[in-house]
Amino acid sequence: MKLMQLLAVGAIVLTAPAALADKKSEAYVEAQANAVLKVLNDKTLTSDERSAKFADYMHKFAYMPDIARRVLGAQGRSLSEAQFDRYYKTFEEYATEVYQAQLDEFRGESIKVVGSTDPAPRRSQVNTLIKSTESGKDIQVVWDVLQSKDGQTYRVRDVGINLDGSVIWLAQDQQAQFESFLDRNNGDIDKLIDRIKQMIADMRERAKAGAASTLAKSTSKNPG
Amino acid sequence: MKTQSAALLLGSALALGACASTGARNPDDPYEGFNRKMYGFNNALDKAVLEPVAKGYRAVTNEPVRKGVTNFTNNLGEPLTFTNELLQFNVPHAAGTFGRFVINSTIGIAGLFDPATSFGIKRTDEDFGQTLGRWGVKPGPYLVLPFLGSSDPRDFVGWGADFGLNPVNYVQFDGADTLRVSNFVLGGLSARESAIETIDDVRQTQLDPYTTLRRFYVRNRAAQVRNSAPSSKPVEEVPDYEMNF
Repeated sequence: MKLMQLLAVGAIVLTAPAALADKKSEAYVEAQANAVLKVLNDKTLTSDERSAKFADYMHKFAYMPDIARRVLGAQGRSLSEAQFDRYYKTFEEYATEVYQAQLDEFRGESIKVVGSTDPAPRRSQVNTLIKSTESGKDIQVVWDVLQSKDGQTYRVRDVGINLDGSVIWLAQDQQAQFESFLDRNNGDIDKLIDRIKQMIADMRERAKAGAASTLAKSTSKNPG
Repeated sequence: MKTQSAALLLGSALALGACASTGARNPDDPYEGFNRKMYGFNNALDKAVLEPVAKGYRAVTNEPVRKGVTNFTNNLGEPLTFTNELLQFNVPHAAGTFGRFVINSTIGIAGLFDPATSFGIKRTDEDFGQTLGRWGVKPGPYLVLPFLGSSDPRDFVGWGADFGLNPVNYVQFDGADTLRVSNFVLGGLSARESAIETIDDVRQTQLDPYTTLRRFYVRNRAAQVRNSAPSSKPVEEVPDYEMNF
């Protein structure tokens, strides 16, 4: 009996630091993710205000320059400062548009933390569940989080969405696409910047068309 | 005969891929040159034919009708799933699939309704590509095949074998051929209709839709072979500049 108690105490002592680290990163993800969702759901904001606030949260939640550099793969290390600045400005706009569109699926819902693991020192993967507004299904969203040196703050490196057992990591997938594009265009960063700009313009055009068609539908339903 | 044709087609695909690819090969996609050409062909075909037909189908049907069609084609897929579950020695799933087929074919009026799900018997979906995966066969290189889309040698062989293994292909009665053709056409139509938004989204928001689809296919098939056991992200090296805060 004593041996069992000792083993139990030993197990608790050994697992306590990891569990504590998990709880802190879990609380961080839950608070920040729900704050972002609240912004998406805030009906008092205009579309531009919502985008601006969303971009602010993206900067608090993640460190965008690091993500921007990482998604370029090996090319990210060989760019001049001027090239990187030019690319970063475009990437930031693109990431805000894309992530806002991705998270819009969960508008009006809140995130619930269901557990986490610490795969390496200062790193956590936080598992959360959120209901999709479109399908009504609970979707598992995994947050790859880094802890600061002083243990006081966190940064999100990547977000994974589990679709029937297959996790799509947004930044990792973006990296695969950017690397492939650069490979096929002799590493020409300006071609990538032009392509991203084109995509931003297309996304905004479609968002405008979508908003106009929604407005037209609601006007025809409630004439006068 | 079927196996010979399949092997021939596979061989041609690989040979064409080898000719088409130039420069440094992507280890995740050694036949990328060929695959991108086939992707372009399939994409053009989809935009010209499949997508408009799927949108037309959505326009002329309502949700309950489409649900009935999906249930019907899903039900006719149960015998093949059952066969593959037996080949995977997965008796509990095979029993569930058998039960679903009996319940949905009778109480569910030839599969138009899905009372089995209401009774708590969840639908599973297995094919011979997954069976080969369960037996330890590796998928091989990613391939995009004309008309068929994303595949790999394991799935391509599995796709051919499923024709031979599917009990529905051996049933004989008046109108059996019509049933098989209808099942094939309606199954494709139903699948394309349900993917309208997803495919639109990939085309519109992804910088390189080909890469997105390739990565999704490879991961999705691996998850299906594992029977959707959750996969965690492999722990990758974090560059120093990212840790420095």
